[in-house]
Amino acid sequence: MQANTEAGRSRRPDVIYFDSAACARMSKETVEHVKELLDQGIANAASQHSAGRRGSALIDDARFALAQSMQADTSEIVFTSGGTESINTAIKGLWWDRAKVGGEGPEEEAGGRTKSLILSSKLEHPATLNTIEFLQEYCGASVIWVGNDRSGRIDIDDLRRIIEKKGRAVALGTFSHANNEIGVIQPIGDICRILQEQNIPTHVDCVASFGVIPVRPHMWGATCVSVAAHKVRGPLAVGAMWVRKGTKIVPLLHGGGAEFGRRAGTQDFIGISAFGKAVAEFAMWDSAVLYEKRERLIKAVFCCVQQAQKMGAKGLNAHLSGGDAEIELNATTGRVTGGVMDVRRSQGDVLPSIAHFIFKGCKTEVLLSLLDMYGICASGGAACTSGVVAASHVLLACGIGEEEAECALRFSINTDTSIDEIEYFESVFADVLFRAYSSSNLEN
Amino acid sequence: MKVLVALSGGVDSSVAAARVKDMGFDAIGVHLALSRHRDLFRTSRGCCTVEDAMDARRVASLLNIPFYVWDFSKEFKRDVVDDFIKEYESGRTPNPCLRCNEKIKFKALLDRAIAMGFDAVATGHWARIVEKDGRKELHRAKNKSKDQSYVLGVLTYAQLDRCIFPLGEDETKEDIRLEAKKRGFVTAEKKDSYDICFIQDGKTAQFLKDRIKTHAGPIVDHQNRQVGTHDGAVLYTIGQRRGLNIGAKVSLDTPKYVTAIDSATNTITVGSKEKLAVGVLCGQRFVFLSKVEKRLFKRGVPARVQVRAHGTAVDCVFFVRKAEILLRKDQTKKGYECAVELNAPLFGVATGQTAVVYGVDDSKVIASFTIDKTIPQDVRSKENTSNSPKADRYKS
Repeated sequence: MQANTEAGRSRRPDVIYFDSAACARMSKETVEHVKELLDQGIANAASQHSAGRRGSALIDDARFALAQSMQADTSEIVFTSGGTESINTAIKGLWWDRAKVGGEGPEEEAGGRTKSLILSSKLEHPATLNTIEFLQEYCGASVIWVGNDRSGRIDIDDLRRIIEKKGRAVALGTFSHANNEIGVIQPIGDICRILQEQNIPTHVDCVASFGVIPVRPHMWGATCVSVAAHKVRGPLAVGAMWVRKGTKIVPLLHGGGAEFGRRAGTQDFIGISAFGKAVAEFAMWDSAVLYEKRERLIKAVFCCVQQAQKMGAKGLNAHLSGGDAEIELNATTGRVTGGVMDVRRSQGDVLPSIAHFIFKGCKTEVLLSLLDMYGICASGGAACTSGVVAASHVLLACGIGEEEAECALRFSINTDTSIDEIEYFESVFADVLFRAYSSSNLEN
Repeated sequence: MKVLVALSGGVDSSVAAARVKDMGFDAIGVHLALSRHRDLFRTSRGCCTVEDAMDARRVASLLNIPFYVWDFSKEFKRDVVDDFIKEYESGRTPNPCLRCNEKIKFKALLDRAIAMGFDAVATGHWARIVEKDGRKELHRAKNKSKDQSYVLGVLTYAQLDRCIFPLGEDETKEDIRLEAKKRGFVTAEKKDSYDICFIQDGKTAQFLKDRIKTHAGPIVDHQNRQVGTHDGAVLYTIGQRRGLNIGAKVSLDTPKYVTAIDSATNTITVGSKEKLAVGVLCGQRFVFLSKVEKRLFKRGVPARVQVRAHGTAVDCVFFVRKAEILLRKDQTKKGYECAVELNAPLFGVATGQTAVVYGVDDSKVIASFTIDKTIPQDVRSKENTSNSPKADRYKS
């Protein structure tokens, strides 16, 4: 399937990487930085000698870079082993502190605890959903899922209604700033404010949005924020939390006094330092550049859909997820409705790093296999440990049928995505769509 | 040439993949996920667990070939599991492995592969494809005890034309394990899978009981005298001896076997071993792998027939004859059916089983058909007036 030799096709870059939302590629500078640090050797940053001080100084620099990027104080930044740990610490830590037996507030059914209720949405990442499930199963927590519309936006009115009714029993709310699959940005300021008015702490999962659009926890009125390094072109297995000054959080890990006593364990100062470097780099970027690339990519996709239809994939249809503009390509007329050429209309609604589609008539697993054979990395749905790509819970929560949800594909880009990559993609994607359509619509 | 290798996570398919790559083909490994609920599958015997998927991935990465997991759970449920239950419900005994080859591996997977631009599908089945006069033939594996041509006998010629079976020429399984070990595969020492992969504990009757509404009914002998009761006729198989709830006196005389299952009246008939003897097998659902010869319609051709995956083939005369094909209830059309007249009787053959017909060399697969009617040996003996079979001898 080496298509690059065929006439009329663009020269193929080594790898076409449209999966930055899963893990963004580290910049050359950050890679060099890590190599240098590894050369210098490791030490325990808690040690009171020169080698230890070198480590703690690097951590301080990184903490400063993160604090600056969120317009926060350095003492509010806690380094963790990644987004999942940050989310676990925030939700469990806030809940354990508030949902006490015999505390103030009306008693919930479970175990005589007060304030055992968690507010969240079904659009959240499994790190959130499964943490809540754990608290329900083992600690007596209960949960109310706030509704959302078909595009994947939280229903603020529903949130207000719930707060009015149950506000006094709520321990915390946890919502994502932007969805990691479809890229829809939530009205997080409104959400935090509504909860703050009732003195309910809010955890905001910013793993998908950090480094792409501004994260401003103080301005929102949030209590905790979770971020991860590998989504912002930093290293793997490093993350951080922002915790509002004065907030009590029960730590997940107990041990030494690292990270202000909020996260025990010897700090990986090389990873943390690389995270800080990546954050300092993205701080210089303008999201408009990303929006332009996204627009270019979306146009390429719709162009390829039309080509595939001409090749014979008559029933093929493409729908761009999220945003107000319901952009859809009509199979019979070949017309794009909702204004594909005006994808900027959705700026502010959807992350500039994510373009999520439903290709009606093409199975995700076939699309992904074919793309991979062309050297193109993308993702779709939620892959389980065995590698089966199942329908995404996010799409199902948006009311999309299972059959359509099994036709989803996410392209995610970052600042390092090149026009060469998009052009090569455009030169082969019609073929991918046609083959995927043909192999997904076989008679049985 | 682009070849898709089906990697089950077992040793055979691992070596098959390695050999496809050695042949110089552009190989890609695919593991089929046949259930959405992997925990439904047993961990020690089957070939569909999460662990198997990981073993398959490990082999692909050692071979440096792309690897994907494709979900065929819907197709598997519909075409194999549900079909299995439905067949039992109708009083027949199906072979799900064969159905899986027919509908999943060499249909759903192969069709998808071709549409995606692949040229062939390779598996770790023990069988040989021999090319003769520009036409491909399916033959038994060199090692007869490992031979799997029976479960491949349901393939059409078009399907066979796109198949590669790299393991057919091997002498022993040990050779395969040794090769896997040399190549560093984690699968080298893995136990063979056996039994039905979707029945967790191997208890078929319980699996069926959980899914089919069954009622107690009579067990009768060949004189139509009730000798006991059963807890659901469809839970039994022709030739079954154990687990029959009949009085000790009845069973002590001579061993009793299930000789007939009537799902419509929920009745089981038991009888002595002789009552199980069948002389002719007929089937309306058939596939020909070799050319249909004219003499098949007249005197028939001498051949060998096998009715079980691990059985041996027996001598027979294979022929095709005109028949009334049952479409739906009371609706028939004129068509053809396949039949074999056995030289010596076979015991305990159930409808629903597949008959694979081999040439007299007992190697080349000629055709296969699903048995929908068996004619007892004694009936055949009475009717058999000449030494050569005639196509219209056994009226449908």
